[in-house]
Amino acid sequence: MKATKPDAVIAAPVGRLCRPASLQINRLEDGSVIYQPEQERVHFLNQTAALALELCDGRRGFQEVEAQVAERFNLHEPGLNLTGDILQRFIAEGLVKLVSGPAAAAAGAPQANRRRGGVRRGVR
Amino acid sequence: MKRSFSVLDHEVTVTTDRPDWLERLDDIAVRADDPQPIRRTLHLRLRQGPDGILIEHEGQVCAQGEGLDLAIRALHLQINQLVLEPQREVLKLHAAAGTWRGRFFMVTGDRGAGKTTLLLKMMLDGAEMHCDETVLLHDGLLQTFPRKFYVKTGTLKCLPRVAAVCATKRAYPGFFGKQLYFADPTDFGLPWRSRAARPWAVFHLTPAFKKPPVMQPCPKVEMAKQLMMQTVNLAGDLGRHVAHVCRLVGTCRCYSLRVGGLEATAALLKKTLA
Repeated sequence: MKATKPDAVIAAPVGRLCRPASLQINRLEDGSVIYQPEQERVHFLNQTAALALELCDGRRGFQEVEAQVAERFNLHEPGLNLTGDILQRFIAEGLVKLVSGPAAAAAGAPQANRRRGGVRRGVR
Repeated sequence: MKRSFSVLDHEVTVTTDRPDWLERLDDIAVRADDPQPIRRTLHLRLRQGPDGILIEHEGQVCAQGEGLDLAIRALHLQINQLVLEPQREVLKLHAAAGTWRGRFFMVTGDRGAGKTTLLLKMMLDGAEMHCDETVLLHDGLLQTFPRKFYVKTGTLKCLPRVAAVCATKRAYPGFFGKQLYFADPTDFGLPWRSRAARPWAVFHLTPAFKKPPVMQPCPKVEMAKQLMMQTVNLAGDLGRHVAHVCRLVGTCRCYSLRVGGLEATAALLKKTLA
């Protein structure tokens, strides 16, 4: 009998997720429109992606963000890795950076996220 | 000899030494009521040059047309450009706007989606039509831009009353091959007024003329995307433009309207605005 390898497990990157302070976040009732000044790009995010980005505040890692998004949107289906895909995409697009260090125990959103308007440099 | 009219806060004066050209200026003269005080005066001149008809602004040739039709059309474009040029802080959206029973609404969509035809139909049914091409956006407030409506030949087949009015008008060469007529509500005995207000609703049109019309709420993020795509002047502070668009969609209802038959589409639009 041939030995089979267990299914490969892709570990989530280690570190805290942090969005650049320069991002301009425009919140709408069903998502957010993000302006990225360095790249002069505009991103249109649905509610799930918008929340994931909000949670990338430098205090949480992959698992914490995924868990909170799953909780908020009831995404508990096994094998579903929507938030992980979104976060990988954010990193690839430069919307989020992975910084070293363990995630802090973040219970709830920090003040920066609660403030209406968030980071809005250059926006009147 | 001259013709004078106002466009938003601009007084426009066009002079010519050709009496037969003077009546042509009436084809593009804007007769919209606008409460804004005049802040700038534009002096343009139409004269014959060696290779065509020249358009001068402040003594400088700024455009030229081969033949009178193209020259008048070029003059019309030049006037609009000169009026819009100083408005750098505002976002220029490719959209039409009207008011139905007191509710101010904006209609956007790609060229050929049916904006002008639908709004002309609404106008004939009792709506006030403000503009069919450009709306200026600043801080969530829409300012309609009183450009003469471009009535294309496709519209005439759908709206016999419009066809009857256009039969009395001169056809000009269109921008995409077909002819167009310069028209405005006063041609139908109706008032033409500019309006600056927050819209009650924004509609994004997609054409499907052979199918029944469908109206659906449009996610605000999606509407923001559509409006960004219909923005004419995406230059300068893009972040500010994005913020203006988001402020607009955040404060009004947003709908996707699949445009089907004209009667049914107009009925659906009126029902939604009721």
